[in-house]
Amino acid sequence: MLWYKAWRESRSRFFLAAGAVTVYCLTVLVRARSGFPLPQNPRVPYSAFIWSEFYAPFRAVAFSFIALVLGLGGLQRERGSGTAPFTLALPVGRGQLVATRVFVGLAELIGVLLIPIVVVPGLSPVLAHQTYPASQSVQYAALFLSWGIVWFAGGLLWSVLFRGDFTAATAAVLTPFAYMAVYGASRGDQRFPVANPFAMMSGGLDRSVGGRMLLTEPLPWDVMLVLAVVAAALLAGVWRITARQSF
Amino acid sequence: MLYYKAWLESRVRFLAAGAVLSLYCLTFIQRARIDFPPVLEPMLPYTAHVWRGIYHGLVAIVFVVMAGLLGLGGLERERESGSCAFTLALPVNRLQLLWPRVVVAMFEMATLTVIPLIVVPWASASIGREYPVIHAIRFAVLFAITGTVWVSASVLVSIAVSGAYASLAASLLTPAICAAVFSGTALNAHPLLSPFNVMNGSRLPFLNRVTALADGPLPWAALLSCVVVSAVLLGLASALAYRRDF
Repeated sequence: MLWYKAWRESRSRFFLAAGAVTVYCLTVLVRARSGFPLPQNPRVPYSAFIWSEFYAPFRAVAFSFIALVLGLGGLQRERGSGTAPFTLALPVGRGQLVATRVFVGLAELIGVLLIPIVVVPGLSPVLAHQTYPASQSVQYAALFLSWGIVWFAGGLLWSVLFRGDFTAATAAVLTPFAYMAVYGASRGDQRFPVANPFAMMSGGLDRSVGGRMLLTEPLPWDVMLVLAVVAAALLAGVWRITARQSF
Repeated sequence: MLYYKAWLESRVRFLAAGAVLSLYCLTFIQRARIDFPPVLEPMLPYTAHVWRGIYHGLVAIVFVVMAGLLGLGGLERERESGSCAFTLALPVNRLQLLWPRVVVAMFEMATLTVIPLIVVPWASASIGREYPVIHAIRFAVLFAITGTVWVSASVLVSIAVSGAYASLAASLLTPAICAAVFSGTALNAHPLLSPFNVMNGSRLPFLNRVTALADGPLPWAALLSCVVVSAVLLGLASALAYRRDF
């Protein structure tokens, strides 16, 4: 039942995000039928066109927002709307509530990521009369997911810390920008290029990506492992804070 | 009192956005001490560097996103938190509740546009560079007028979509969908129609291609159409708010 409750609380966000991503994917592919090769630069390969439409840094920013918004929710929000006592009366611990919320949110995040994985390689031959390797979609999705879980955990952490819906949402939405401001101020692009989220999500760590924008090197598993640890630490913080809250 | 109520409800969003915008503008300009001119473009004018990083960079995204967030709230949100009965018990009608919220959100959005206007010329001077104030003012005007569209859209979303997070998601998706429509359809051939181009002059003739300064006359027709679109959205929001029966 907890799973169903977490799903009910977040499904409208998931459907909005999934709907927008689906419509966007289909629009791009339909446009590619008549608009590709690009009239202004006919030498751009289809894989680079797909990269610019789906995996470029600005698209990574949009996906980060989706991850952050899917992460919002939890007991503090219910406290604000007055329903927390009913949830807390259920015969489960707060940790179980958090864990369920995390698993459902991550499943929704992966669900959103699956859309371009399925649509782009699957429908490119039909709609755009071009081919795009499914392996590339999977690899880019893995890169997106590696930072996506960090943003997701960040969104959940803000919503555990702040009671107001929009306070948590504002903190969540501003997190990537504040991070980039601090990253820029500390000359991170020169000292820690792997810590640039949007460059990494867009395949910027692959030095031989070339003009075709196809990932040829192995995925940066070490960086992805570090990000998984960061996300796990944030989620552990969420669990700890929720367990210690006294309402 | 209704204005004060609207301010109390939105001030955290406004102050947080102001803080992040100030921080980003300041750090971007301070970094220019080290990374300007770029190695690959040694002849790039400083004003073009600022335009790429501030008016056509992350600041533009933060501004659009926050303009959307500032318009959220209102009776639907209060209904969810159980406090709408108290607000509805006030001796004012629903439109009198809506319009102070709109005015405060518009004022906050316009104030956000002042941040680059102050920080960019001042911080540039502090590193020994010059950014003309008059051009910062022109970009602030463009941001403020196009920003009315995003505030109005989110006011409409906050009334039409119930659930704080659902309205938040819809509000964030609105500019994203607009961007996709303007870049991915036949509208792409008409850059003047896109508020994203109008706000920073991208692909428009009033922007100097070399210096990235707003040299030419501002696109007043496009700005007027932004105001009209905004008025239509607010009209729809008013009609919808008036018909609510909770």
